[in-house]
Amino acid sequence: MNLLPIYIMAGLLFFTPPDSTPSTGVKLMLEEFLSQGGLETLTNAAFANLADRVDALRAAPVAEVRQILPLAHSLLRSSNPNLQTVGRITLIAIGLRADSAVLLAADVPELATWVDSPDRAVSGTAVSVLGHLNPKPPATVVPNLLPRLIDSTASTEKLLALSGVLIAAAPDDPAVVGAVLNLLQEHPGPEMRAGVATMMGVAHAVNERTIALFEAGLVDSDPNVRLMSVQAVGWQRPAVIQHFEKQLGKIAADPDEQLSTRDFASLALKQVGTR
Amino acid sequence: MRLIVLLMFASVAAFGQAVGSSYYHWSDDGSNIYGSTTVEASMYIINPPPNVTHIYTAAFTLKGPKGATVNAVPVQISEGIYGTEWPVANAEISMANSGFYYLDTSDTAYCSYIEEDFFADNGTDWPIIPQPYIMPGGVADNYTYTNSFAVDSAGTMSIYGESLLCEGSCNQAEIQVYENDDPNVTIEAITSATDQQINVGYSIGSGATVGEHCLYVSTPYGVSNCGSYMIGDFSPTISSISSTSFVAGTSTPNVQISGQNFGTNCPRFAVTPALAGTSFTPTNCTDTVVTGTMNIDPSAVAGQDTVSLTAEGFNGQGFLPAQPGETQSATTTITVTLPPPPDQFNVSYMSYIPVDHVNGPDTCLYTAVPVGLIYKGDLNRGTFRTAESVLAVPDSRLYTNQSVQTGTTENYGFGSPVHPPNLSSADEDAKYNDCYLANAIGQASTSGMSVTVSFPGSHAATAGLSGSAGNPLVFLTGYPITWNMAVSLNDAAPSAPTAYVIASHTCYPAHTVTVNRTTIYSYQPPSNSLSYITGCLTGNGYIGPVTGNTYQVPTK
Repeated sequence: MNLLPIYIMAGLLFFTPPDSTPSTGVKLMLEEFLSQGGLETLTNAAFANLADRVDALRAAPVAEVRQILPLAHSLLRSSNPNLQTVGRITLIAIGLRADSAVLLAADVPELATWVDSPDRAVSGTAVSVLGHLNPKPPATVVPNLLPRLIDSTASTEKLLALSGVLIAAAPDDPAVVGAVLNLLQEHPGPEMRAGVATMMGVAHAVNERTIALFEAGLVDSDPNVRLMSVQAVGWQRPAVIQHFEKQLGKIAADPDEQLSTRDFASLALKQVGTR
Repeated sequence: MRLIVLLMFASVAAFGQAVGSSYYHWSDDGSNIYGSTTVEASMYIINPPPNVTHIYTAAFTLKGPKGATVNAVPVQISEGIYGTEWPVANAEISMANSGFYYLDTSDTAYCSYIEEDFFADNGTDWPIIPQPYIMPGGVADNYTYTNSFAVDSAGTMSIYGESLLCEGSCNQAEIQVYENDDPNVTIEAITSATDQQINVGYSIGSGATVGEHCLYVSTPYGVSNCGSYMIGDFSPTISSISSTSFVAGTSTPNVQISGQNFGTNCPRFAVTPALAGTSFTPTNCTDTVVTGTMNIDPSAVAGQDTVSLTAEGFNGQGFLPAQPGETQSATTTITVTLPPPPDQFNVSYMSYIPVDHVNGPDTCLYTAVPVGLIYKGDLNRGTFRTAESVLAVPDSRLYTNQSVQTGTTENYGFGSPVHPPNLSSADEDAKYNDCYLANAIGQASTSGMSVTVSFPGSHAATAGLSGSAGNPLVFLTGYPITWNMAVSLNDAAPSAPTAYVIASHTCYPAHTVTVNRTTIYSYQPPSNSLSYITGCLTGNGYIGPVTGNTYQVPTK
């Protein structure tokens, strides 16, 4: 395999054919990468240039993006790690599009398997792309990821990442919400408590169990859990915040509570006109 | 019949010039003597004047029978007396051989009857020179005027007595002063002498035995009595110390304490106030200088400490006061100062968005239209995404003030920025969660952040500032900002401490490490595009580990 020397790669990164759209330039660049079979190195500066160029795909015509997507797949299947990185950043850029859920729907099963990768770049890309599929992650995300949530050997970090994607995909799915809440039974540590409270708050998942979760979180012994729980409550609609008004007031007035938690409690109360 | 005559020359042992006269003790056995009868006479002379020939005339009359004069012709007996031959006894003189006789040892003279003038000297008084005599306490050091002398010292002494110069009949060269029981005592040549006083130099070696000693004066007329004197130890005195100021918690070698009478056995030292780590440990000892190491306990307070030296004498003999009143100890003072406070290093890490705002990955709906949220950056705001710090004190192997913080995260919806290109106070409306202007505010958990400090060397510390923190306003926790900064501090040269970092982190946002406000690591992301940010936070394009340059950093 011939690895593409750095100077040639740098030229590709900066070269855009005249009278071409940005996405066309990206397409040509990716094609050239593939034709060379490999990249010798990928410096951070080159990576930034690459990212900036593929960033154009976020607003590119969907037709052009559809032409690029196969190139991204090819890059991802390359044996060259740097080309794989090029493929992932291309996929990330496409995943950030407003229509990414449609464009990448077929990739969901494979991306789900990436979540299990020990390579943080691979698993992180999977989480990011799946979680940001717009306007909403497709329903297929849930069956692909939910079984992974009951993997008792998975780390807290991984379980939280999976939960985030699942909550993003199906914030109102009782099975998903239940599965995420159930994590607290096997992983009762403060990191999981804080993470789940945050997710439920961002997802505006309000039901009996999450209300109980928030109530417990507001009096949790861990300051981070209290901080995230206060925020989670504050992100809810006024009626929900009012449910916790008394507890929030107590936190806001507690001189022993850390300042940021008190501030967020006050901010939440402000949302319902209490302060 | 024999008449035993005991003739004794007795010297008068008295002070002052002695005048000798022949006197004698005689007796007869009551028997008559006859012609050709021998006369027996015994002489016993004490303290004969040596090397002088004295002629004694024995003018006597032999009478016989007893009480009647037999022969009025006096017979003179002359004898040569040599000091080495005395006492002379049993000189035998035959009456038929009257005349001059030289009596030799074992000679015996006989006579039948001896009148008073049997032996008389030849009519001239002659001086009896007694042997020299040293008065009790008559040996004195000319410096201290005492009878006590110190080991390992030298000087002159005076010896007081009588007949020290043979009643004035000897010259100085004939006099000897000596000590015969301690080879470590050397009596030098006599510097001056009278009959009552001899001045002589002396040196007492360090090997001299402490206690009572004798010295003697020898003249041609004999050897004196014991001139007693004492050898012992004088009180030690400290005259100076090579360094008088010491820092608590330090060990100072080669400190010299100078003075006198320390002895050759290393003295004992004590420093007060007594602390476990405060001591003076001798490494080399002489009578006048002790060299050692001064250790001051780290907990010592500033002020005056007393160093007490207790002499232990010479050569294992222990300390023996040369005279009453001599003390075994001496003291001096030193000043203890506190060390300057150890260098402290505030090690700080911070990540921040180096622009006014960035595009976020998520959207909200404003009037049913998706709006891409923007996130407030930290440029010119003094804010940060994540921050950690710790105060490390390598020399004390201590650290404190660990701090982990996250900044607030704020996103903005439709209408922001109100005054492009930057966000401003106009974007801060009061209502959140409405996708209009300020939309949400949150703060990430610090549960994934940690600060550790280790001390790999006596003047070194390594601060580990690491962690991860995600955007609290999104579902996803799988791609946070992560960092791991291993900051090595080297304070071996307190005036020029150094620091460097081994850094690894996501390629977004900016990351800096400072030590006492000096930036030792600064990473600025080359892009702020959403794809780059997302690519970085997902682990693509991770930076490091890279070893930064070594910087000299301030001490505070």
